[in-house]
Amino acid sequence: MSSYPQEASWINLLSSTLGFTPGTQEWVFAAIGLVFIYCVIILPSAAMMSFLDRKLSADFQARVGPNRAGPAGVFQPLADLVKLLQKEAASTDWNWREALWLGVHTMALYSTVAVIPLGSMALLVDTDMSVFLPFWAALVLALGTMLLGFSQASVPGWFGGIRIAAQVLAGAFPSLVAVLCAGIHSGDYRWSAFVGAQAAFPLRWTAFSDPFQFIAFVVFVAGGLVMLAVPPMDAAVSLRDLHGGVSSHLFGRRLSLYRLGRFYGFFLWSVMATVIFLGAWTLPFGLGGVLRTREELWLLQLLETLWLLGKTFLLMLAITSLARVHPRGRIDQVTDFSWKVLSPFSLFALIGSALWTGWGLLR
Amino acid sequence: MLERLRTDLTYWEIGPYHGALPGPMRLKLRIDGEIIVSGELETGFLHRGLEKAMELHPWPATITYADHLDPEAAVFGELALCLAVEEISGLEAPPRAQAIRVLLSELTRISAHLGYIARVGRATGAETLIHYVLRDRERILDLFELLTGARYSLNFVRFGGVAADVTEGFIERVLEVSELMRVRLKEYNDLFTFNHAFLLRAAGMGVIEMGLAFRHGLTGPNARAAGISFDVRKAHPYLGFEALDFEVPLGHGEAGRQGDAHDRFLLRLREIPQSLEILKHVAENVPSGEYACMKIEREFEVPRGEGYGRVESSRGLLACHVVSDSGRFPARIQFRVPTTATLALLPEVIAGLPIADLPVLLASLDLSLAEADR
Amino acid sequence: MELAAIITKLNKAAPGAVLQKARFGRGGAQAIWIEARALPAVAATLRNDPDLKLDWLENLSVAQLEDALVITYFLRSRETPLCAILRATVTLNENESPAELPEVPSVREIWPMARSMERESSELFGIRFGGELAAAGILPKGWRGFPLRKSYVFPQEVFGIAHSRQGTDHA
Repeated sequence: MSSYPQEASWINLLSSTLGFTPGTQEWVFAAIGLVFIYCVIILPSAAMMSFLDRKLSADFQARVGPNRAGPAGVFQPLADLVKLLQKEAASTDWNWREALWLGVHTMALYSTVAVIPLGSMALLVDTDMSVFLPFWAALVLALGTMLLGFSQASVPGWFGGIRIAAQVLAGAFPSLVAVLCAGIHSGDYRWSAFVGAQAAFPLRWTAFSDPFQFIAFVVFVAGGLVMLAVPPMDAAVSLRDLHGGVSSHLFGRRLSLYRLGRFYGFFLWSVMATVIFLGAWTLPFGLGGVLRTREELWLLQLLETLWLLGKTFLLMLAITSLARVHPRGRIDQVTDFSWKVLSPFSLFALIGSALWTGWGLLR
Repeated sequence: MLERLRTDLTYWEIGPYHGALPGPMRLKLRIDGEIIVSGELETGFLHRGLEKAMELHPWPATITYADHLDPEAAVFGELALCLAVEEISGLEAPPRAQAIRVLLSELTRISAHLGYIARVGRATGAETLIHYVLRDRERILDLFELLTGARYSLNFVRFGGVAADVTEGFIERVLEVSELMRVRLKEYNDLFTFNHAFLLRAAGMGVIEMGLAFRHGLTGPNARAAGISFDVRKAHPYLGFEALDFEVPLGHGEAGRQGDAHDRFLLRLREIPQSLEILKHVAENVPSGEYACMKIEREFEVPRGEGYGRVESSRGLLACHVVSDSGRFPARIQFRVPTTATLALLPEVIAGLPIADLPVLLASLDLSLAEADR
Repeated sequence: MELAAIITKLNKAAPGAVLQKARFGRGGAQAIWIEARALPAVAATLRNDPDLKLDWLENLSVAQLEDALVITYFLRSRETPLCAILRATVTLNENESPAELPEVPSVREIWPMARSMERESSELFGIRFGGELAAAGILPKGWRGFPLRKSYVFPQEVFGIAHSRQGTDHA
């Protein structure tokens, strides 16, 4: 369904901008793209979101929030990072198991940067499997986190590890079914197909195209929260009963890596939700078409990414605001919610959207 | 096959310092999977030898120590001590002093209950509630500061009265704050009390049955949530509580069972309006006159004799047994604190709970280790 | 219920147990002094007698007066407003060996809430309730002496940390 011309692909754009010869291998571009996306999009997003989250929740909660580092505390995320990086290890024993599993955990997480959709020309890998790669990564991530917890040989680590695995399994099923629903609507599982099935106007977003897609959207977001242990579904990493679970023994650089990873999971999920259900990056007022005919491809890409990120941030902020006023569920309540509430709803939405789409085709 | 899995119990020791614990204590748990099979308790990490220290100091200085009995609700310790000493030496606090003491004691009760609500909020991850509640507790601490110059360790009650007369504007501000509290209580209720997720965590969890509560001599809001109608302010009225009109709420198990964690939370929330009622009535009718029957000098001596003072602290029956063999130093000052009973029944309550419920349970019991260890 | 009637009941249940009644404080409260040995019988009567039902041990307080430890039991009933104060004494002899520490019968079988109170007094006063010296865990392991006794000497050094009590005006 993608109607974009072949020459507008990101490789051509990148190679023409950077002045590479046409014969350069594709993996070189992919590697450059990964690093570029990580540094230019993910890290600043993490900083911005953590600042916005802290400042807004401070506002809800009748307090000031970060206000020392820079004007209105805008440099607080940077200060936090610098602080965590300089921290020295509490013990000099090198826990190689922890390092190993933290490495697995991190690699699984960032392998998904390859498929993260950020604009019509920023699709590094756009196959019909792209949307499923994050699920695979989440499972590897769960394994890595679980073994990371086990490697700490402490009760919080043990229970935190097992709980993470339980939550990922519980959350993955309904969200996967929700993706299938959206696939029925768009007819394919490529990112470009999801985008092509939607338009800029909200009523033509997948989430609002029919009632079953809306259910699928809610299930996808809620299942993602369970899967990635985002508050208020963060029983697996709760500070109170488990001392932070797996993170209880991490500190300094390892802790910052772990925390950044958790933010990235949440970010990736919200980007996916926006692309699949909330109209992706399609610019309003036919702006995309105008820019493409004028061949302003860099500007087009920039605007698309900003538009997408803007929607994503709004979604993330909506979720975190909800978490601020919502008490945390207990671990068994979280997994129960996922298996007994989200899963039936997702199956219902799957059947419903199949019938709906089938009815539309027959007519 | 099953034998080779080694499914025996795990041993988990929490403490003495841990975010979920109400103070320094050690919990030795045996857990089967995530279920607590049994738990043992070790306390004493906060033992400061208060009772011994009081014997080594002249009478007026003992108040400072009584004040540190429970740092969160300092007035109750002072009050119990002063009531006992007044009984021995036959001092009578003038009506104005009584009124100021009632104001302080009810303000402290509200502030301690707000602290409790914040701790329950923290245990269940309801961050916004914590900040709302602590913001409002600040208003009460401001009142303490206005009256006594201190926010936590007030050191304000004296034998036969209080240390000073009310500051200008204090009474008006008490009325103002109690009006504000009424509005805020509704806010907390809307935000949290019957929130679905909170009910899931607290309703029916950590039930203290009436029999269990009696067996360990539990008093205060925890006992009242279990259905035991005992309040020192009604049973042994002091400071003129007999003349004041207020109710003693009891737990009914509205959301789960009588005596569960939610009942304990709700009961404290219900006690606050009663205290507000008392505050309003007393603040509007503060009698004029002296604020103390005499000036207590450093050389103050208490005649030979014994006294026993009981007060209803925010956690229950707080009693003080004072023995004097005449002279500048007490022979013995002993405190009966409500937390001892709560700690004694803790092992029976935690058995059978999943470890994920432990922080909520501990917060809902309102333990004060400072008070228990002395 | 009048105090006299209680004493009559006690005399019937445990002859010779009641030593005297004495005023407690100025508030008109009366305390019943009993023989420490007869404590279980007296306690059982107070708790089980249908007219008394003093089933709630509110407080257990120990105080040293000269060379005697006075143990005070503050009792109340959960059904009636009845309150009573029960007292017993044990004598201290200094330089005692652990086996010679004063012994008081335990009442924790009669009033279960006595358990933690007895343990605490046992550790801080060196009283053997029911024949054993319990450790409530208040003092660090290996602590010498019983801090709440008048004869307690503060250690010069605790776990390698020098300790002095200068500057207090303790006479």
